[in-house]
Amino acid sequence: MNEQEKEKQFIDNVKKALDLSVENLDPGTQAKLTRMRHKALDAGGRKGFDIRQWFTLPVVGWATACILVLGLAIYMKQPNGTLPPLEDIDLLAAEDNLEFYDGLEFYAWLAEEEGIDAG
Amino acid sequence: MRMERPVMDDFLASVERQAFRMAEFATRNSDEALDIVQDAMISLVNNYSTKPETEWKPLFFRIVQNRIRDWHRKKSVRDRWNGMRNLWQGQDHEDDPIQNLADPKGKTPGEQAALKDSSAALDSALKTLPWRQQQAFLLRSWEEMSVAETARAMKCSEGSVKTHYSRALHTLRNLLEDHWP
Repeated sequence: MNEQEKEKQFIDNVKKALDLSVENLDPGTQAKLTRMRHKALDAGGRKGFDIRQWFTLPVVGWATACILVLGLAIYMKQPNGTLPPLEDIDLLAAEDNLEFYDGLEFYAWLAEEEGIDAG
Repeated sequence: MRMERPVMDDFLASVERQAFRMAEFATRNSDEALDIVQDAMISLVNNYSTKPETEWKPLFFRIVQNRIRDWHRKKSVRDRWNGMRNLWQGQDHEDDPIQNLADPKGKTPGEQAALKDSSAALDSALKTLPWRQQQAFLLRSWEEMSVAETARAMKCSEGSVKTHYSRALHTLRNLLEDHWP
């Protein structure tokens, strides 16, 4: 047997011994490896490699774009494309009771009537 | 592309024990080896499961090698700090009772007897090798990876792989000549 054949024989023996050591791995270690494998697969599954994931992103993008376009359209529909009048914002931001504003027309009418009576 | 769980499961089942043994040889510690394999499994599943199945094996062993290398880096830092601490405290390694405890994986009388068994002798011989030689030898001879694949897995040059492998082979043949002449 020449040197090359001896080396090959040696490697074969090493491989057989290593394969045997793996086959005879103690059950406790094997069980731990199995648990770890399942844990890794579960984690991967949760993270998601689902093709649906790749559809979700464009859908969210489209929804955002639609909302923006709708918002812009509503804005443009305002007379001269202006923002709602500042008075409305004042009304909404005021701390006064909103019922007061609901009855504003009545108070205006009342003031008018009183003015007529006085006149 | 969706991960085919049974396919990945089969693949991991086919390599997990070899990876564990490799990490165990490198760290000489079963728990550390299990941690390394677990990290490698999670990394493969999370980052590379969409790659073609034929690429999984080299990728998996590359991750295992990365983890082993990280483990050795951390260990060398830990050892340096422990050495400095011992110097500071005026202690010698020989005085450290933990250092003097019998290594459960070492050569107790019972295990000396078991060394007659060639598998146990191989285990012991592999653990005497520097880890790069050991891993190059295992990847090349056991996993039958090419020099190029081994170099990629170990992040070193093909020349280094050849050197590590050749030195490992030479040492192992000397150490195991009683078992496998």
